[in-house]
Amino acid sequence: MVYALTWIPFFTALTLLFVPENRPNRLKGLALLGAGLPFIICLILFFSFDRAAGGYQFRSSLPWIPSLGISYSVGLDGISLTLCLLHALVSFAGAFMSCRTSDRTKPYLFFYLILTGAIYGVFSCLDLFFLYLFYETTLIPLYPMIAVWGSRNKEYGAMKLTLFITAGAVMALFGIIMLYHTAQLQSFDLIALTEKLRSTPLNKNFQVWLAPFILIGFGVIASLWPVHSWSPIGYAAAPTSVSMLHAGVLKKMGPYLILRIAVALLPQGVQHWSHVLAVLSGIGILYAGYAAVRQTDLKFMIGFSSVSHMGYILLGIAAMTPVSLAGAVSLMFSHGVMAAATFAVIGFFYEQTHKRGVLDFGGMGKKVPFLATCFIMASFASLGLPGFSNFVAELMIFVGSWRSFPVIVGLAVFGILITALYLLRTVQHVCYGPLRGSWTELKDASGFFQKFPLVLLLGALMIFGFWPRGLLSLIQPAVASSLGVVP
Amino acid sequence: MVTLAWLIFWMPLVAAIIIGLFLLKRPAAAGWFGTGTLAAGFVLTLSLLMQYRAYSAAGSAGHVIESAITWIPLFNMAVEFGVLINGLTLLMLLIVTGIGGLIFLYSTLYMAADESKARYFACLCLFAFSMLGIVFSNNLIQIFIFWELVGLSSYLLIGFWYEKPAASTAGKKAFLTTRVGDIGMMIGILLLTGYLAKSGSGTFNFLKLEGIYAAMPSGTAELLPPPVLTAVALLIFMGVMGKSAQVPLHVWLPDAMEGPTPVSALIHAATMVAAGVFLLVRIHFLFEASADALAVIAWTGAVTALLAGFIAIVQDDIKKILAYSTLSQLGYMVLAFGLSHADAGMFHLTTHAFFKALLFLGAGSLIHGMHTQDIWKMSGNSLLKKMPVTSWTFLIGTLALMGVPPLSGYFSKEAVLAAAHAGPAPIFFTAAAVVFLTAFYMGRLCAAVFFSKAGSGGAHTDSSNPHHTVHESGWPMTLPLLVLAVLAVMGGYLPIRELIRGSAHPAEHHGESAAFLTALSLGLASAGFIMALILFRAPRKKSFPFPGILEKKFYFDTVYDLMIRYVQENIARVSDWFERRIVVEAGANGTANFVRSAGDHLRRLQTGMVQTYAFVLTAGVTLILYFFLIRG
Repeated sequence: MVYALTWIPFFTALTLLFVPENRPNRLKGLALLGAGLPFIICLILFFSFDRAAGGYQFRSSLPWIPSLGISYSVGLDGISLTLCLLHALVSFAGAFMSCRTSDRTKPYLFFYLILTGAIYGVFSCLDLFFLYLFYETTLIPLYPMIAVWGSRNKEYGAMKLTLFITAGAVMALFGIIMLYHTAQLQSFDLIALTEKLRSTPLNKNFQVWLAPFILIGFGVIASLWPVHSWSPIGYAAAPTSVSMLHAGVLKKMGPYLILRIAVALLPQGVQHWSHVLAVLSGIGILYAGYAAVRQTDLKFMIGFSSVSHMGYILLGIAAMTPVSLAGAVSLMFSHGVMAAATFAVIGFFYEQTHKRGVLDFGGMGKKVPFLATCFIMASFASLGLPGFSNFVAELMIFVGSWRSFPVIVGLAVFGILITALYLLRTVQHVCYGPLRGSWTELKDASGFFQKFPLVLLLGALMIFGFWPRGLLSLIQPAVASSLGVVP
Repeated sequence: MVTLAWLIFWMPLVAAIIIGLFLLKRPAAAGWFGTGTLAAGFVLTLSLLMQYRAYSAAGSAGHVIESAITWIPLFNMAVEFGVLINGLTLLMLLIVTGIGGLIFLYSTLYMAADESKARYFACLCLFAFSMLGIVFSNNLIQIFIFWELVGLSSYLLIGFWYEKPAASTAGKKAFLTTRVGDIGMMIGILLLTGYLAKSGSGTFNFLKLEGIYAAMPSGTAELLPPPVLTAVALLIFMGVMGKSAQVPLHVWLPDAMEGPTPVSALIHAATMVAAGVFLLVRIHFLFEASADALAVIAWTGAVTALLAGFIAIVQDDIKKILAYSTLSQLGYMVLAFGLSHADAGMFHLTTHAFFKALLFLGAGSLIHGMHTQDIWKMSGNSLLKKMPVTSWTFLIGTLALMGVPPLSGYFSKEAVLAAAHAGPAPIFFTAAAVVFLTAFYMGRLCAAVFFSKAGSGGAHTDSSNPHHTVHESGWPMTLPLLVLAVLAVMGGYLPIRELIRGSAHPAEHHGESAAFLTALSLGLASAGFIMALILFRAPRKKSFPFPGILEKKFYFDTVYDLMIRYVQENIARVSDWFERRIVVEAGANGTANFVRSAGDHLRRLQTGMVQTYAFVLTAGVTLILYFFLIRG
């Protein structure tokens, strides 16, 4: 079942190649199927996961290169299931948005499905080799998707994003290979490695030396300050569904892999650098927040906003307490869904107006009430309003990190004021006031196909905002066991 | 009993959702549905009150009922979601559902012509839900959650007419200003529970915290050192300053008058702004643990009461006058709390809710009837005849606000003054001065609106404001006025203090000074009122030479604007510059350029000319031979 998450999108993508270009409805139907079936599977997994038992479930394994200890093994624990659910929501909603692409639809949908499958691969794999393989696979479709279907400065954005993430990946690869060798287990199996290194931890100096490779390597994609600068421009250049997937899900691979590899396998190394990581996260929160205040392009603003929010996630990881880590994972979920919803709304605006400037809009509340309501709701989710799951996640990060880094947490709490500042300003410009410009022809989202993705995403935020235990009962035991503590 | 509480709690949210999903196209139905919900809430609250009285009379186990579920487990702590019922809860419940219900009813007519009436009622129900959440909360996080949610509904309702830039700006300002306070509150909560968690007793629960604080003098002093106690109290007080609009976080409340007038009555006079005072009383033990914090609270209240009273005397907009009056009275409540007379503060909160809601609704009726908010444009309309219900109830509200016996305001103001009398002399003088100021600005308002001679003041506005349109409002608007007027008169005799007792420390009685205080406040009030009547009855006097600092509202907004423009915008500008110049150009593009130019230079080596290669080869071999054979 877990294999299907990855391979349904892959096979659908291949099938897509045999559908003629002039049958757009069939193409779109296939794409929705390719993203929708894994969504349903994820829902089934979410409800059938045995929360009392915890640990890794739905495991299976295919031997690949036994001599090197490589096997294609999959399985989900609470953390990866949460992220699979995030990806299921965002990729399904994104598929609806992808279907709105009118230019060269077929190759776009093909790349989109490859990307979707590869991300499932990252979150469901338990073998470091395949994990890394899927991680790199996500980069392949991204470059053409941004460079061909993107907007404004797209080649630069695509190139920059790809180079940064590849450079980070190379660093991380070096770290992974070192880890493989020093563990002397002749296995890439994540569970085996975790158990081995928990019983016989690596030399502390070695951990201290190795941890930065993983932290920075995967920190790049988590847009850790100061290696974040690919992110705003990359999102600005990318087409809507890529922005949704990237800001929503791909970025979360960074903290996920840091959690899986650095925190679980090199705990002392991470502990040693935790102050540095916390300070960098704190800088990221405030700095990107203030940078967002100055942006006039909606996508740049949301890009900086996501850098700022990733700072909260990394802060939660740096504190390395069960509460802060659980908060970090919930924020990965919540921020991912929220960012996707925001980019979807901006996508609706952009495809009709080809404008993204904050000041280009005005009075949208009257003109397109549904989209404006969604935009306002996503903004309030982003600024941590209770009722959305983002609040619960941020609260847990604050409570969990307070004792390790009181000053930085204080600054991070101040950061939510800055978030409120730029988001309320934007909401005021875009949604309130008299109708500006010549947008009298602007159409609101109407009908199931247009409204569903937004309802899905915002609905998920509110469900887990009111019922946080739905996620936390998955996350908390998994986080505790990855820290090696008994809840 | 707990079921009943949960029912009262959730009903408005359900109503908001039903209106939002199904009744948006049917505004009249939305209005009556919302009003019905609140009325039902009020009835259920009354039955809850009966049950509670029977319970507390029968059981000696205490007067608190608590029921909660674990909402967010935090390993060794937990965030609960629950209800806490005691006298204080019930009093606030009655205010929120009772006065709220009246204001809902009033709104059905006041907003009748508005095309977004259904959205208005959805927001109003959301507000009622959030406010009930604050009232029922049994822990700090829950109260913070609803603290933020009332901020949201306040934001939505202030900016209700969002096409008006002033309205949406005011909404934004309210949200951001109160959030400054909320940040302090959040840090205070983190500081408190962080310290408690060190000894394994981390909790957010009010009753458990009270237990910890009560046990403090006897040996657990090292658990929370005194500076921490003060810091926690002051940080949480920041939240109060935001919501209850205390100086220097008061600047949002006057601007909030951009919202519809019933909203001003409900949210920005009777309930939400009082939430800060409610929080103070709810966790009074937390503040009473630190004498320094109490002193700061008392002085904050005194300064707010005085400054707002001064600003109110120069305002021309009827709602602005009432807004500054609200600020001033909130200052009274906070002052009383700071002097350890929480029950006096809470008592004043209740009576203030009666008469200030009355005044705001009266103002709304006047605005509805005359389509202006300027008191000078209202003058000369012989309103006492044309709008009798509105005018007379407004005058009753004025008398209650001034604290004239035997109206409700008299009793509560006396309680506050008694608290101040027992406290430091400067605070008492401030409180007394505010009595005078209150009478003065209300006298000025009444002189302009009601007592000015017909035709003289209103003459110049005749074209824009023809007299024949001045008319009394319909029953959904006048009925709430009458009910509130009765409450404003009788409020002092209701068993309000009985309810509060047990939730807060009762004030000691100062029998011998009571007569003196009554005489003093009555003297000051009548002096202020009569002086204002004499000064402002002749409409020419409307440009009275007040000092400019009052017109500028003590420069708070000016200073904040400068701070935003020069400090915050510059930080943002520097971040943005750093991003563009250093991170992107020097860092990322610089690296890229370095790689590119390195490539360019290295490329030159590949000339493709055999002679060059031969030359380099020969030179290399020669050098190697030189080093190894000749030097070696």
